[in-house]
Amino acid sequence: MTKTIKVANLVKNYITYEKNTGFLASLTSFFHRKKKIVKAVSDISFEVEQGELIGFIGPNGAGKTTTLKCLVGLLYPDSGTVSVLGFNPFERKKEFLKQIAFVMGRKAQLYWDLPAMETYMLVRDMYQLSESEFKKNLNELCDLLDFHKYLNRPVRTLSLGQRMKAEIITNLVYKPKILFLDEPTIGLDVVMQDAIRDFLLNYNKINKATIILTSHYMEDIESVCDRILIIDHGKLIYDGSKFDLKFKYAREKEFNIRVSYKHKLDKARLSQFGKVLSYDAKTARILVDKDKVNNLIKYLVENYDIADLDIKEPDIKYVIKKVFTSVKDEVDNNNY
Amino acid sequence: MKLIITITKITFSEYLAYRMNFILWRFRNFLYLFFYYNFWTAVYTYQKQVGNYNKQEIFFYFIMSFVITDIVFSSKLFKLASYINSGVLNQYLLYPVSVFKLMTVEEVVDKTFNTFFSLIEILLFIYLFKIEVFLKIDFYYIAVFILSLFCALVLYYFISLCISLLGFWTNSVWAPRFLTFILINSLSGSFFPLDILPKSVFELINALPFSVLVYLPIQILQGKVSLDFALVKISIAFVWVILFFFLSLFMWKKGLKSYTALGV
Ligand SMILES: Nc1ncnc2c1ncn2[C@@H]1O[C@H](COP(=O)(O)OP(=O)(O)O)[C@@H](O)[C@H]1O
Ligand SMILES: [Mg+2]
Repeated sequence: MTKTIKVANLVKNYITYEKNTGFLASLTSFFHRKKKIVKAVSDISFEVEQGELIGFIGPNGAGKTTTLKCLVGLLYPDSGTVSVLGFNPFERKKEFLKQIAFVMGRKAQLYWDLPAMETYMLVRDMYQLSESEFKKNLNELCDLLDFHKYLNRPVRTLSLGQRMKAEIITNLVYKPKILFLDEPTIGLDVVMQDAIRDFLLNYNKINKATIILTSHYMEDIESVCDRILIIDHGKLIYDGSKFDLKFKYAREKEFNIRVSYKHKLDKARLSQFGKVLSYDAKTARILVDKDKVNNLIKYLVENYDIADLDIKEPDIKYVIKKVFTSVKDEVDNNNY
Repeated sequence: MKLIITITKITFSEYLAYRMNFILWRFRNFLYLFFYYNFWTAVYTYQKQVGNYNKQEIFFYFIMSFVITDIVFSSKLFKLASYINSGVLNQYLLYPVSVFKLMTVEEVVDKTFNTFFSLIEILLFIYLFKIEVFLKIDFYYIAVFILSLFCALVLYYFISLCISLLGFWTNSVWAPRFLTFILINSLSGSFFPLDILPKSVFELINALPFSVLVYLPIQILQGKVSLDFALVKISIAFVWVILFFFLSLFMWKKGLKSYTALGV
């Protein structure tokens, strides 16, 4: 199986110069400038197969955007190799650019005072789409995103969410094979966020497209992504499936128990299985370590008449929080 | 080809969207014309001749300089500097068509528009103020004139490209842009014919490439220079074009590597 994306030992530092104001100053700065080095990405490696849904998460300034920019060829890596669809992104070959899309949450690519349709026509010609292909794709996208009625309104009259949709259409009418999305749902209301998530899942299903997205909303990751990359201070600290992540870092399950009127729960006994979060005679909420799940169920079944039992996964937000508090020690101890 | 048509349409739509700006801009140009007209009229009430120019010749000069300045200097290329600084360049870098191709098409469309309107204004002006126009109607002269105009366009394109690319190294391209604009404008002869200056100053300015931008094309059109001389000047200007071309290429390559894709 050939990999769609191969990143090996990627390093990217920003050398920020003090940009000067004034003509003479800028002329001298052309030749000699004060340097400041910001380490954005240090030694990241991972591989991706076609069709994967990947969530790229980490705190602000962790290096997510920087990594994406290296993957699409906007930034020149300091060292390491990046290969996307067999291309070196920085060469920005036509055939490469036609197969990828980079959706930037806060940037408008659209002509502000013109209807989105005009931008789409420009895209059609730049990507050399046939009229029928263009119409078909555009229709499909407008259906998925419910955008038909906004096509001919000047972009500046659209709401933030509608503009995000317009933006997504710009990037997808040419049916890219890989989709990079940098915080696609930022600033959108809940309904719109859901719409975008559903859309991404659908697009992935229909086109077998690879999707890599960064987000601050764990809901994005939870509902869209199968695989998670966690990055912190420019280093990759987790790479694996969402399921494994929960398995590794969230060793508890939440039990919500209700017993029938004949019985009374034994709090002291319950607390041997895990942390009792709330309790009254008939109900209890307990955080149970995975190892003890079996025992607890056995105990409950043998001793009580169970009216209701609900066993929940902790949500991803909780898991990620745990990752960031525990991962450093684990890395140091080298036992994972 | 389709791309060119689409860009033309979009440029046209943009003009419509900003029609008030456009009308004001054209009106400003018309005021300029009017100002020059009065200025030179005043000058020629006291004397019959300024340098090599009688009244009719000077009127022809400033009218032609108006058109040529409009064609050569109307440029949207400076947008590139703000694209670099604001990160809008990112989107252009991700298009499968080079940013230069896109900007050049846009530039040509834009210039065609400007030329069209500027010609209308001029004809209107000539009609309103009953100005007599003398052209050197000779096939070779017209051909060389067109060549010189082309040379002027290309030269100015690469000069402004280089200034825009400074955006990779400085946030304030506005200052150098303004400075060079004023400088090039005056040195190109778009305000007055350069040869009315003292001979030594004139020769100094003429040694620079800028006189090719406005002064030379008009000289050719008026038949004031020999074709041989014009062709020599044009050839030298093309050497400058090549220099600025390589400079811009160098700046682009060097700039992109240090480009931090700022913005988002
Ligand atoms: N254009 C830039 N110039 C200088 N430093 C930058 C630039 N972009 C990002 N950085 C720095 O690089 C680090 C990583 O940034 P980024 O990749 O944007 O993080 P994230 O997207 O994970 O929030 C941060 O410390 C940030 O301040
Ligand atoms: Mg970011």
